[in-house]
Amino acid sequence: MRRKKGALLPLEIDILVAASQARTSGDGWIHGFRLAKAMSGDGGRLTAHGTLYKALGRLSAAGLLDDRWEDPDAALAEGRPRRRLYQINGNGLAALARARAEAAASAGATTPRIAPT
Amino acid sequence: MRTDDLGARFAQYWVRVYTSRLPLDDAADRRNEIRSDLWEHRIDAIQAGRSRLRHNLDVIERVLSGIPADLSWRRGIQQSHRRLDTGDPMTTQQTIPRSTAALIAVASLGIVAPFPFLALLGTGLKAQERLWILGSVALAAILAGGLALRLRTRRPVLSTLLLAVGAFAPSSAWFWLPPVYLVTAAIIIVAVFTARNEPIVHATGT
Repeated sequence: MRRKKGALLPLEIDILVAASQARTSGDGWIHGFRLAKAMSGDGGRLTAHGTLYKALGRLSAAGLLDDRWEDPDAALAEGRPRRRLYQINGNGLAALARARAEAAASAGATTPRIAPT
Repeated sequence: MRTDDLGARFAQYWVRVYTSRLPLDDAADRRNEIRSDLWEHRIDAIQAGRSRLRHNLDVIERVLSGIPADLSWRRGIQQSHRRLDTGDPMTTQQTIPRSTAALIAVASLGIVAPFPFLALLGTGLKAQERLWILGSVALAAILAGGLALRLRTRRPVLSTLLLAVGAFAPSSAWFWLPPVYLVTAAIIIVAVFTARNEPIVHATGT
């Protein structure tokens, strides 16, 4: 089944939520493993490599995330591989707000209304 | 920090497999990103006090459950570069038939191949005769696999079929062992999805 154009998958919403939290709490640039960790919660399962990086690529291509490779010197100084960093941008925040509004609207539509007494 | 754990080595092997013969930039980006992820994951495991076994199992689980997405990503990259190379949109309908044909052939072979050996092995053959049969099967598998690797670039479909034949040969001899079938299936899946139907990089200036 094809998804509606512009609609976000639950995983993509989770990524945007985690990226927006990173933006609120710091400079906003966050790497893939940190995103997976943030989405998994405490002790939860981490998103599979393929699923995570494919979704990140999709969100970047859709213009909802900015991405860049960090400065090689920074990685070298810490003796670790270079990180690819992602940051939610204005389009991503708007898409997230739309997804949340749609979720709230559909939840409201399915909640039984109680007549006032 | 050790990155030579079993899980990390498996992940890095797999990423080399599914990024093979992709455009260099895409392949390098994905390999570097996975390498970084594995490093961060290992650091996280050390900080959380998780055992090496538990960590390796976590990594392997992340690799295995992401395989469908990896293969789908690979196909997306191939298709987008074909579009750039030819100027024509490569639709899903155009790319499905070859893989489907290969899968059907392989599946048919898998269903049919064990029966002659079932019949042969069940007819009271002497031990030496059985040894000859199993030896022939092993030799056929090695020859098919070797030829398939030689033809991988020039004849991807034929190569995939030969790999399938080679992979099924052990299944036909050790048909009662499920792990043999699982390995066979894994080889075939990788062979089918890594088969290059069209050249991605064209020579220029000729």
